[in-house]
Amino acid sequence: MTQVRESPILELRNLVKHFAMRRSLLRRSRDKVRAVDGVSLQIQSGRTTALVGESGCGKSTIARLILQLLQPDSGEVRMSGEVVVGASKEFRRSVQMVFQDPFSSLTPHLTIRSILKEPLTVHKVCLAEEIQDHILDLVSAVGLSADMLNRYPHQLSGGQRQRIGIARAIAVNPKLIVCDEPVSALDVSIRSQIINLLLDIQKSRNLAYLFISHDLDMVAHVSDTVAVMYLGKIVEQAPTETFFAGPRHPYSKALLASALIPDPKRRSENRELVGEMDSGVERETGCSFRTRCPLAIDLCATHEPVLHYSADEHLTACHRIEPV
Amino acid sequence: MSKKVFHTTLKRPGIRRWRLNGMLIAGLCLLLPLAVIAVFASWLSFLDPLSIDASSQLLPPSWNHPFGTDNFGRDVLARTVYGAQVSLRVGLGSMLLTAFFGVFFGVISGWYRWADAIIGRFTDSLMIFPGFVLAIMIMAAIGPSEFNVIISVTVLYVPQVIRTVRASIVEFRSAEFVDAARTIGVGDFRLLFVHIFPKAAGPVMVQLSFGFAWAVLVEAGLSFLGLGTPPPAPSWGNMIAEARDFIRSAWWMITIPGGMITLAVLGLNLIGDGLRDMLDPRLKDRGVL
Amino acid sequence: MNLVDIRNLEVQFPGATEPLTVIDDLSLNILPGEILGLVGESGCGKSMLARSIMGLVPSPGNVSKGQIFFGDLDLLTLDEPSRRSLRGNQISIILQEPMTTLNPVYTIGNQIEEVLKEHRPDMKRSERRQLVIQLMKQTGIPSPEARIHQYPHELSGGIRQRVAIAMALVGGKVQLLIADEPTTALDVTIQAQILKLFVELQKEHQMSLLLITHDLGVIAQTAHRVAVMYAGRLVEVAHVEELFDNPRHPYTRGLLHSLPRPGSHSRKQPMPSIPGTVPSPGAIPQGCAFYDRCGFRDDKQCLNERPNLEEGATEHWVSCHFAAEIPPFKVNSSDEVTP
Repeated sequence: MTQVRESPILELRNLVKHFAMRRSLLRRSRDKVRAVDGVSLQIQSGRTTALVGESGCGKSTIARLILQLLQPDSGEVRMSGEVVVGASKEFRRSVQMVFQDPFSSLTPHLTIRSILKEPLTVHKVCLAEEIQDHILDLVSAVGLSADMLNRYPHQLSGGQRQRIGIARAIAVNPKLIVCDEPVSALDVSIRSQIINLLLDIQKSRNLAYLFISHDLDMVAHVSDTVAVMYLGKIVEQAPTETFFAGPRHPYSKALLASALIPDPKRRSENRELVGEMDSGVERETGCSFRTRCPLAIDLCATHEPVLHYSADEHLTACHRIEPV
Repeated sequence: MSKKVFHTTLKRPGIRRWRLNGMLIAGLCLLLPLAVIAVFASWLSFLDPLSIDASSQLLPPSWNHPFGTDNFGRDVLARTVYGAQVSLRVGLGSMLLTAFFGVFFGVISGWYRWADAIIGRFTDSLMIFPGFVLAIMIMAAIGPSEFNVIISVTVLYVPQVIRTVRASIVEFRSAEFVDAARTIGVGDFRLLFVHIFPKAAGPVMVQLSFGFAWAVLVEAGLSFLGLGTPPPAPSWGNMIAEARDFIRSAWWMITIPGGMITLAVLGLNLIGDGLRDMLDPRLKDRGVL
Repeated sequence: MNLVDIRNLEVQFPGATEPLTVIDDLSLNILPGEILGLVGESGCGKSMLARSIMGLVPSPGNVSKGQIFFGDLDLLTLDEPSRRSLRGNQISIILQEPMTTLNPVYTIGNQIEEVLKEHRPDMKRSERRQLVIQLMKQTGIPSPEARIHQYPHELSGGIRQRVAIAMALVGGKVQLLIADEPTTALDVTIQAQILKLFVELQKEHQMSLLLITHDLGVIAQTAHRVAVMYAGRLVEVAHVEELFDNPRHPYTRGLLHSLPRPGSHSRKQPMPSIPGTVPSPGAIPQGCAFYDRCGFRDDKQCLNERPNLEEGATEHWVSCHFAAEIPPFKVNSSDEVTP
């Protein structure tokens, strides 16, 4: 089945980023952490793409590569079809980010007003005399009152701070916002408020999100497409409904099985996945998941599986899945 | 319903949370009167610190000369007050220059890795020498004058400030709020001076107040050796140098400027300690949940 | 017979004008051999409760009222030496980030041995080594013979947490193990492993486990009984199935509603949420602490009168004026959440 697709707003093509590991002060080790190892991904405008994985799988590195806070070793980031090299003002206006920890991502010695003013002045979003009105619009858009403006970040609660982080991101009317674990640092009762705000803003501003998270239930709720990462690679990618109806990669299955269902009647006894993720230090061949994989065969040690298309735009990188 | 604003009383970061502490108050009490008298010396009708009076040599403290006179019959009180002016000028001048160059090079060195290698080696090489020995070398090379004292103190103290500023910049270079500002598109200059440097301003101020004390000492030391402010200008170092021959016969000639140096340096160090205590991050969480 | 019996505990911190109460008149018991889940959000006082039991309330905070019985001993009146001999011996604690409890400059073998030396000074060095390796095996650390020579930073988060657990069990006589957010810093797949280990060890050592967490999933999967805290107060205590089936306190209900459950909310639609934020100590409403955010409140009783923790159904304690009148709980009847 072929579907007519819009051209993606942002595209990652075979993105690679390795970090050199330092062994000692004098000798630089040749070992490398393969943080991102050939990732291709398309983000459609107005839709939410979720990037799922455990810590160290490279999902935050991808965020930093997209935001041009890091430069890739190879591969490219394309914005509306054009290769992005460094961060032009135009690029900054189109792509914004919401950070995980709303406390450390707001400059602590600036007032909320100054923090929100930064993007407006840097990008000359509006005339100087309109700035104050614009700031007021922004805080009300994220559900806060104007008396927050003269406070400092430490005087706000976590949820309020994250709202300011979101207000700062939408100040320049971006097309894409990278949300790096936007709610995982927040209290449980606040999380759904912030998720609702993000959904609301997406609808009213036709935003695309790259939603980075380890929380599968949250991902199931907010995303249109899911991509699962393991050790710097995407191992499975599918539309959200298809993915949750039947994940195919053994790692995705294990992730879903490990999720703790908030229902004491559904206690799963055998949900455990053995072992831990490797450090991502260079290995020679094969599938990086094979050391923990219950289905691993000899082939997995010698040949690296690549992402295969199957029906329903469901991509999987695993030798043990029958190609359709 | 009783609602109290809670968080505003807690966790105030850095400067906003300052409350005067004992050491700072003591330091200011020592130093402020001294500074005020020095600044307004010409209005306070002291005697001329340079006028020689052969008829009143080596007079002990009296109503006319509260601190006595020296071997040329000059009034020691007037010379001490004008000597304070010299110390103040040298201290302020050198610390202003130090602040300017220290912050400038420190910021560059902390932000740009290529600059770090160059500036780092430069500061290292300056810090190899014992400070005072290097000061003597510099003064010997460029000749004694008050302005040159300022130059040599600056050259000697700038590396310390560079290091402090650099350390703060490096600490916050990869902070999330810096990344956040970068993703907004804030340029390097604004990033450094609006988002990062204010975090370093406190420690630099502490260091400058210690530097001030050190400048007073260096000026006195150099003048004592004849390498600082040239006589007959009334600098505390000069006064002590001139008093060497009269220690037994005219104790006031050496104890007064010596005491002043002690008081000024003590006061400045107290201010530095006080500032440091207030900024110490370990104390910041005092009484906080 | 209770293993731990906390009666009317109050913990205060000095505030700007008056003391701030972080634990407010809290009574709770822990039965021998049970896993008691303690749920609450950051700042609700759940960690402070753990610290009170351990006798480690950080200065300038202090226990201003109440008693904590451990068996027959009142922990709060015990002198420091006898307290210390209880700590790590019969009562142990495990923290969220084991890196804060492990010393970075010693190998993990040395560190576990050091604790062992405290408890069993008579033991020979070789015996100690043996026991350390055995303990590490018990906590599921792969190839312990090699790991004892490693430093904490060389280990992954999951293994570090296993080391912390081994250290907590070193005394061999642990009756109460307190685990304060033990899996929050860990990945999902590792979290499942560690929780499984907790359940196994709890059975094996027949100890009680006080499992402190903000994650209702962790509670649902491991706990026998649950206590819910809000703003320094206990709002609901019940058996785990009872609590998830029939939550009576509006806060508990709000928490359960706002959980994303696969297939339960329609995708991309607004999720039910509790409005507002947790009040900070010092800004807690006079009557019910949840008053500001509650969908069931009335302006008389709830505003002025603090509800007591009362037993409604059998062994189901709730502190809400309307506990009896609130309709049965249905997942996703979100109407009740927004007042």
